[in-house]
Amino acid sequence: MIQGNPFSDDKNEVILGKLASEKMKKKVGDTITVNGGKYTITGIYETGNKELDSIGGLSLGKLQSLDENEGKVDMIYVKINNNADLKTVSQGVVKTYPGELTTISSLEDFQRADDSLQMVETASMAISLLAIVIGGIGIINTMIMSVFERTREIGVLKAVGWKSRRILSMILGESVVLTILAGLVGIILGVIGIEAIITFSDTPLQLIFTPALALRALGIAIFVGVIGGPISCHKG
Amino acid sequence: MNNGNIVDIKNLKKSYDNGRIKALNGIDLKIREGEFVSIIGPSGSGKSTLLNMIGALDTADEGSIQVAGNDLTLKKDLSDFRSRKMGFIFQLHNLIPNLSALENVTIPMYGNGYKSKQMNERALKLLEYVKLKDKAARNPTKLSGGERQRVAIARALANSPSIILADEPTGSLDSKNGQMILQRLKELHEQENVTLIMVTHDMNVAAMAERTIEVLDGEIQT
Repeated sequence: MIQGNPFSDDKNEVILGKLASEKMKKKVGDTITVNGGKYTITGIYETGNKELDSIGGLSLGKLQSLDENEGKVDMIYVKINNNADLKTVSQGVVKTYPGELTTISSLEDFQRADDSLQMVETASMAISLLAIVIGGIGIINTMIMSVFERTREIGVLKAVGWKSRRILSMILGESVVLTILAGLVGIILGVIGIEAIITFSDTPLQLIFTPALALRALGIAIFVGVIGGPISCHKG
Repeated sequence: MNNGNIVDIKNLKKSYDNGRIKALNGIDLKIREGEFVSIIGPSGSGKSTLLNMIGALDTADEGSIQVAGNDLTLKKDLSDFRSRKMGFIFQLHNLIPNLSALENVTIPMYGNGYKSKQMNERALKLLEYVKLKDKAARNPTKLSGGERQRVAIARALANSPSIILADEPTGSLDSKNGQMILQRLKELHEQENVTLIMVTHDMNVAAMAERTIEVLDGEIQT
C-alpha cells in the first residue's frame, strides 16, 4: 500500500492499483462508481506487476453482491508453506473437492507468462531488426541517389584537387547528419505515437522512455548512416 | 621544367572503347611558361582530351607528359598537383548550385592549409578581381551566364595556379559576355604571367592567343 488504508469489509470502499488510479485520475478519498454504486477509494497499492497495478480490489462480500453471486467464488488463491510440495497440495485439493475444484499451479502460470514475455521480446527484437534493415536500405538508397545526382559536383571537386578521401568524408558526414536528424525525428514521433495510443485506447500500458533507450536508437541510426554512406559511394 | 617549357608532351596516345576510338594519336607539344596558347579543331578532334591530359584529369595510354615539372605518367595521386598547379575553367562553368559564389571560390582551397577566415578573405579578393564582390553571397542560379563564368575564373585562381586550362570558356555565352571573359583571361595572363591554355573552335577567340595549335584526328597539324 503506497497511500491510504485497506478497505473495510462492510463499507462501500475500494483500493486501486497505482496505474489504475493514474489512468482514472483518482486519489485516496475520491469516489468511483461500480455497477451503479458509489465506492470510496481508501488506498492505492503498487505491486510492480502491470496487470495487478491496473485493477482494484474490494471486499469479497461486496464483490459477490455486485455480481449477484453471494456465497460463491470463481477462484481461490492458495498460499502454501515453504516446505510443502506444490504438486501434492494441488492433487490434494482436487481429491478433496472432486468435480468442484480444479487447480492451476502458479509455477505453470509463471512459466506460461514467462514464455509469453519471451515471445513478445523476440517479436519486438525481430521488428526492431526489420526496422533497422528497412531503415538501412532507405538510407543507402537515398545516399546512392544523392551520389548519382551529384556526379558532376563530385567530378568538379576532383578536378579542383579534392582527394577521394575528402569527398568520401563529405558524403559520410552528410550521411551521419541525415541519420542523426532522422533518428531524432523518429524518437520524437515514436514517443508521440505511443502516447497517442495510450491516450486514445483503454490499454493499461505505460510508456517507459529512458535516455538510454533514446541513445541506443540514435546509436543504431548513426551506425546505419556510417555503414550506408560508404556503401552508397561505392555503388554510386 | 624543361628549357622554360611548362608543358612537355612526347608521343602522347589515348584511345577509348578498347582502342576503337583513337582520341590522341602521337601528340608532341611544348608550351613555354607564361605562354597563351589556344587549341583549335573541330568536334571530336581530340582537343578536349589533350586539355584533360595536361590537367591530369585523364591518363595516357602511351607517351610521356610533363607539366610544371611533374611527370604525369608516373604519378598516381594527382589531386595535389591539380589543386596547387592547375586552374580549370569549363564551358558550363560547373559551379555547385547550392553554394554561394563565395563558397564556390573557396572549394579548391580546402586541404591546402588555409583557415576558414583566410579562405573567405581570399575568395572575396578574387571575386573583387572579377568584379563580383557585391554578389558574393548569391547562389549561381541567381547569376547571369557571364557572371557565373567570372565566378569560375575566380575559382580557377583560388590556389594561384601556374597554368589555367580553359575548355571553351565562352562557348555558352553571348558575344558581349564572351568578350568580357576573354578580356579578363588575357589581363590575367599579362598581369600575373599565368600560362593560359584555351580550347576553342572559334577562330576569332583563338586569334587572341600568342600561338594557335590545330588538332585534327588526334594529331597536331603543322
